Order: sequence, then structure tokens, then C-alpha cells
Amino acid sequence: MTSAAKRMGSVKGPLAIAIGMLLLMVFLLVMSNRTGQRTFELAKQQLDSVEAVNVRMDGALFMSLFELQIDFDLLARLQAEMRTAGEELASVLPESGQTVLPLIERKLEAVEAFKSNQAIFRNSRAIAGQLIAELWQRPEVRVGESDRILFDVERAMLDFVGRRDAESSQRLVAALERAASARVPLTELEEWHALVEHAETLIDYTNRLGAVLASEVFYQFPVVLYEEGRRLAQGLAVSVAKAGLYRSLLFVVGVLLLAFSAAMVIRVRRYLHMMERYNDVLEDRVRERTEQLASVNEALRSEIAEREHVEAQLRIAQKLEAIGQLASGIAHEINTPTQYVSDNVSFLSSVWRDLEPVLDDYERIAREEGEKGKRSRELLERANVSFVREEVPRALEQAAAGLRQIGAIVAAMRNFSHPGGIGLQEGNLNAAIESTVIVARNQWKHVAELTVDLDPNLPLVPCNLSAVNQALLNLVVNAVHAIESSKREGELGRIRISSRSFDDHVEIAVEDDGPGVPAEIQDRIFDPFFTTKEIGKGTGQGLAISHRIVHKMHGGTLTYEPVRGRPGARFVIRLPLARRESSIEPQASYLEAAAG
Amino acid sequence: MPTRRCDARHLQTQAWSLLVGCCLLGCSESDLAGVGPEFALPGPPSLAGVMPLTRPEGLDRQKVALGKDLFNDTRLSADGSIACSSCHDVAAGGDDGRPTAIGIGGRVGPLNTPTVFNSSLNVAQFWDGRASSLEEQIDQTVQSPLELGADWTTIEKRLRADRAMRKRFEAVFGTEPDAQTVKSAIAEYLRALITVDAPFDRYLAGDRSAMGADAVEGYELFSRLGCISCHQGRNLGGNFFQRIGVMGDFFAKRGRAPSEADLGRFNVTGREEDRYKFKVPSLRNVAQTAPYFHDGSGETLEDAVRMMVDVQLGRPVRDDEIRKLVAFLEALTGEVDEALL
Repeated sequence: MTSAAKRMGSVKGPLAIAIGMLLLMVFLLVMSNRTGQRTFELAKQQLDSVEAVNVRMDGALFMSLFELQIDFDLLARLQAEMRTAGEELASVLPESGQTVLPLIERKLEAVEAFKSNQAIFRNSRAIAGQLIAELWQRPEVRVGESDRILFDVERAMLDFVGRRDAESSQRLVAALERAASARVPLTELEEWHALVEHAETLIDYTNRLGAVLASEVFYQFPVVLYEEGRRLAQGLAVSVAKAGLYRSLLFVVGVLLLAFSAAMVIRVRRYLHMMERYNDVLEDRVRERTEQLASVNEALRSEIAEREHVEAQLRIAQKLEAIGQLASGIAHEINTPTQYVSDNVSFLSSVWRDLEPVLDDYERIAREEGEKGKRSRELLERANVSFVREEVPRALEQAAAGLRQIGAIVAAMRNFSHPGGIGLQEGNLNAAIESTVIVARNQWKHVAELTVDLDPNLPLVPCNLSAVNQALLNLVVNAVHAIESSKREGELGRIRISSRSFDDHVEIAVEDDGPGVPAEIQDRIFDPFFTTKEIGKGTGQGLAISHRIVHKMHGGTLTYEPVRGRPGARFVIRLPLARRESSIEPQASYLEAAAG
Repeated sequence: MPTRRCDARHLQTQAWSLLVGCCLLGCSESDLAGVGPEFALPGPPSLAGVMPLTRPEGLDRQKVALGKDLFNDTRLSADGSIACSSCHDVAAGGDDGRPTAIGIGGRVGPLNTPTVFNSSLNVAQFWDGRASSLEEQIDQTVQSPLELGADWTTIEKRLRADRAMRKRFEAVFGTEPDAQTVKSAIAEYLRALITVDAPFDRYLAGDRSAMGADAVEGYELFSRLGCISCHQGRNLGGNFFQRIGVMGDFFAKRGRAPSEADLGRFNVTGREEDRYKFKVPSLRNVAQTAPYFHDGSGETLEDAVRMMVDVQLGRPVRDDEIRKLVAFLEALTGEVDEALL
């Protein structure tokens, strides 16, 4: 147990390692998401949209330049879009914004410059054309070489508008100078002045447009965007690689943690298994010890019980022996005085019989003798002789009867306590029943009415009378106790003892109207030490002794038969008439039988 | 065989369109739809590509309503005396009818108040285009000492003290009122202020009776004389910057030497070529937004047209042509949803 606990304690170290690994995993996870990969991705996205807007803007510029698109709405919208995209890029990745935003500003400025220059160029070109057309309508064009001058200027103008180069611009300037030097009325016209102004404006704004379109920003922009894109891609690659490294580490640590956890689980399971085994062993030991203790306890208890019962048997045996000896002694002591009292009573009876005629004569004489007999008559009167003559024979008779009863009791006592013991002798069971009834009288007289129903033709039965007496007495006492346990105070139960003779055996039954024996203990009532009586009252030996006496000493049976139809118990002793030597223990006394 | 010729041109156009489309990649078909068949002829630009204005879509109505109320809210000015709407009267052209703006405490600004109508279609905000978005423009206008003169902290404090306002901001933005949300709401309102159904729009949509004969002729003149060189696109301007006085001296004609404000976009970029450049204003609703030009020096539409013809076109234009141009410009007045007024 202690070693197991120690081992469980040693799990704490590995647990700390596992937690450490878990924390490392969390750290790696966080780090893998903090490599700036997302920022680079977003920045790249914004840069791409700047690039896309730029491409569209260049397209719109192209369309504007070649007048495929008249208005600047698209350009204006693209300018706003580019500014927004640039600002978003700057908000995602400020360093990228620092590179790209100034470029965007320059580009937007160039576009603005383009728009205003292009508008003026376009305007002047259109107006110049209209002015030339108007001048051709004027009469002044027919003066001198005016038409040639106008033609020259128109051709130079168209040439210039088409070429927009230095050469053609010089030719236009030359044509205008030639016209001016010609001093014809045509060149004095308001329209001509306007034409010249517009021509100058065209040259001026063509140059300006050229300067704008030659602006570095137009070719720088894609280059810078490309380089920035490459930088972002590199940053992205680095961050992806970093994230990949972190994730690989994460994976490795995860696998390690998994393996570690598995090992831990196995170890813990082994510990648990071990503890379980310890526990089982412990439980087995406890069970064993408990069983041992229980059996020892049981042995002790049965030993004590046995000892108690043996002692009780001894006490009963001693008591019975003492009672027997005492009864025998008392019987002898009573018998002797009773003998001579009896002799004297019978002497007095015979004397009285002899004296009666004498008294008769004396009375007769006293009556006849008149005066002489007066004194005798007075004496007779005083002695109340007539009453005496009536009562004395009766008194003597009663005395004789009393003496006979004493004699019977003494005989019964002697009979009952007769040690017998030497084999079986022909015995009168009816007499045995009667002596038992008399001996047990004190037991039953306040508890039950006892009736005896004896078979007058009961033959003598080979038996040990004193043992049979003992068995009968036990049955009677048992009946009395049964009745006592169920009857109320003052209510008398009934005990009936009967004898019957059959061809080969005689039967003595003791019945009572007590509660009877419950079915579940009927087969145990003859076991030694079995008792339902309260502790101290019964020894649990009575029926067992009786059973042994009947079965072992006499080869008979003692059975319990429930009484049908009413509560009560019926114990039947059956004693065989013909002796079966083999099953009899001729020397066994009832004491030996009781001691088992 | 005019039909056949048309077909041939059409085919040619398609071929060009395809070629150009392939070259440009980024250009969608709709961008090319504005290309007229005259592309190959060096002549005056035409309005063939002009599209009528349409009602804005995809706006947050709740946000627009909130923006409208903020637009009319004097708490956005330092002293609580004026609101955006004080100068931008949406019931009268979306501007103030004054030569130059008057801010808090009667402070007079140097420039004419532009209309808020269709301002979301402009390439940038303010005459010099210093604000590239409406939000930026609102931010500057609110804080400009010559305009609302307020600061966002004060405005936020004021609006946050208003429970109803807080609730509305909560509903629209899920946050308390702050500079960013106030600007966003007002910008949304401005984006809603697109004028539609001008006679010209109806004319473009095919209703030939929508404009009078003078206006129709004015439209052709507008195109032929060169106005359209700058006032192009569906907003007839507003999408780029141009120098005032390309073909003449605007300031000389105005009779007043250029001030700092007259430098225009130069003040923003510092580039010499941007000197006197201003955002080409949209001509939409132009009849309602007198006086004209960045300095409000053009009192009437006719004055303005004459000035433009003089200093920008550099060509003689007859009076009847001026009248017809004005008739056309008057046909550019559209309407906004009444709920927005």
C-alpha cells in the first residue's frame, strides 16, 4: 500500500513534464499564427488591388488620350479606388504603405495633370478646327495669298495634331510666322487671332501632355508594385516557412506528448492494477482471518455449550440420583413407622370388634338394673357411647385407608427411584404410569388436568422401569411446560396419558393441548441440546434422554405426532413385547443413556 | 447606303472595343459603352457618353436620416449659431447664394460656397480639392475657424449629453457619437443628395420634349463650342481640375488682383502648374447656385457663361448662343427626394 502510494506520488513528475509539453504546444500554436503570414497575405491582396486599379487607370488614360473615352468619370472613380486601396494597404502593412502611398500620390497628380492638359488640348484642337472652317468662309480668304496662307496653317495644324512632335510643331510655328509676316486682312480677323492663340495653346499643352506622359511615375509604378509584390511574397514565404517550422515542431511535440501520455497511462494502469492486486490479497487475508476467527469462535461456543450441557446432565444425573436415594431413604423411614401404626390400627380394629358385644351387654344390663344401674347409665351417657360406637369403626377404617395411601406413595417412590439398571425385566407399565403421575403431581396440578386412560389388559413388558419412568416423567414435564407457555394464568390445560396394547408392542401416549411443535423444528426436537424454552428453564436434554431410553435401551420408538384438528402435541412411546437382543444395550442405565 | 455604313462603323467600333478591352484588361464593357462612333474623327467632343443621374442605391436610410439631422444641427458649430445647412440650403440649390461663405460670428470666408448636391460624384472636395473624401471635407469644414469653428471633443460632449442622439447613434453605429460616426452619418446624407429627373436627364433618357428648342440647341452649342471639354461626365464637371483663364486673364476681367485663395490647387500641391487651378464645378443645378466661380464674382448665369467663353474658350461667341447655352444650363436643374430636404 505504502509503496503503491509512493509510486503514485512519483507520477507527479511526469505530469509536470506533460503540462510543460502542452504549454509548449500552445506556445508553438500561437507563434505559428504570429509569423505575420496573414498580414502579408492581406497586404499582398491590397497590393494586387492597387495594381489592378493601376492597370485599369492606365487603360482609362489610354482611352482618354486617344479620345475613346470622352469624360473623366472613369478616371476620377479609379483615382478614388486607388487612393482607398493604397490607404488600406498602409493600414495592413505600414511599411508597404510608405513605399506605395507616395507613388500613388504622384500617379494621381500625374493623372490630374493629364486630365487638365488633355481637356485643354482637345478643346483647342476642336476650336482651332472650327476657326479654320469659319475662316475659309470669310471673304478675306480670297485676298491675295490668304487662301494659301490659311491652307499652309491648316495643313501644319493637322500635321501637328496628328504627329504631336517637335518637327511638326516647328512647322506649325513657321506657318503661323509666315502668315503673320504676310500682313493680309485675314490675319487681322478676330478668328485668326483666336486660331493663333489656340495653335500656341496646342503646342504648349502638347508639350505639357508629353511631359506628363513621360513622367517617371507611369513606368515606375508597375516596377515598384512588382518589387513590393516580390518583397511581400518573400515575406509571405518566410512567414509561411516559419509557420511551417512552428507547425512541424508542434506536430513533433504533439506526437511526443501523445507517446508520453500513452506511457503514462500504461504506468498508471499498472499501478492501479498493482493496487488492485494488493487490495485483493489484503481482502483475502482479512477474509481468511475472519473465517478462522469465526470457526474458532464457533468451536469455542460449541465447546462451551457442550461443557454447559455436560455439566447440566451431570447436575441432572446427580440430582436425580440424590432424589432417588432420598426417596428410597424417605420411603424406608416412612415405611417403618407406617408399618407399626398400621399394625396398631388393625389391632385396635380387632379389639374394637371384640369390645362391641361387651358394650352391648353392659348397656342392656345398665338399662335393666334400675337404681343399681343408674351410675352405669350416667357413665354411658357422659361418654356418649352410642356416638363412639358409631364413629370409631369409621375412624379406624379411615386411618387404615390413610395408611394404605402412605404405603402406596412410599411404594411408588421406591418403585420410581428403583435403580433397576440391570437388564430389562417384566414390568407393569400401567403402574409405572401411575407412579409417574403421582411423582409429577406437584408439577402438573396447578397447570393442567391430568387424565389417565389405561388399558386394563396391558401385558407386562420387558423394560427398565425406572428408565421408562424417567422417559414418561420427561414427557409429562414437557407437556406441562408446553401448556404453561401457552395458557393464561389460572387456566388449566389438559394432559392425557393412555396405554394400549397391540400384538407385538404396547403404546403409551402423552397428549397435551399446548401449542404443539412447529413443523419446521419437528425433526430436531429429539436432538440433544435442542430447546425452545427460555434460557435456564430447559436443558434441551429431556426429549433427547427419553428418545435414547426408548430407542437404545428398549429398541422401541418415541415419536411426535401432531394432534389433528386442534393445537397440541402427542408423544408416543412404543415398546416391543418380544425382545430383540441385538438392538438392546442390556447394561445401559438411563443415566448412561442420558450421558450419550 | 447609310444603314450599311452604320453597320460597318458598328463593327469597327466593336473591333476597337475588343482590341482596347484586351489591351486594358481592367476596363469593363460598361466603361466602353460610352465610346461613341466618332472616336476616330478628330472633332469636338460630344455628350454622347453622358448618362443621366440616377437615385443612389445601397444607402443606410437610418444613417441618412441621422446625417440629415446632424447636417441641420447647430451643435456642430462652436457657438451653436449655425449648422451645415446654414450655408448649404438644400431647399435652394444646396448653397448659400452669397459670393463667399459666412461662418460663425459672421466671419466671411474667401470662397464661394459650393453646392452639396451631387458632391459625392466629385473627384475631390473643396474648390482646391484638398479633401479627397466627404468625410475629410466635413472634418475640415466643422473645424475651420471661418466655417463652423468647432472641435470634435465639444461636439462629442454635446451629442453624448443628448439621450435621443445617443440612442440613434447606438442604433446606427452601435457606439456613442464621436467624430468618426458623425462624419460618416453626414457623408451618408450627402451621398443621398443626388439630383435626378432634370429636364436634361429626361431628354437623355429619350424624352425629346423634356427640353425646349433653345435648350436643345444650347446642348449642341455646349458640345460644339468646347464647354464640354471640361464640363464632361454625367455630373458635367466635378471630376478634375482646370486652370481658370486658359485662354484669357480671369483676374484682369474680374477687376481684382488674385489673392491667396485665388491660387487654388497651388495651395494644396505647391506645384507651379497648379496655380489658379480649381476643381471644375459640376454644372448640375447651376441655375440655382448663383453667384458663380470660386470667388462668387459671376453674379448671373449669363455673366458666368460669358466669362467662361472669354477666359476658357478663347473664341468669339454670339449673344444668341449665350442665351441658348443658358437655356441648356437651366435644364440641368434636378430634384432630390423631399424626405431629404
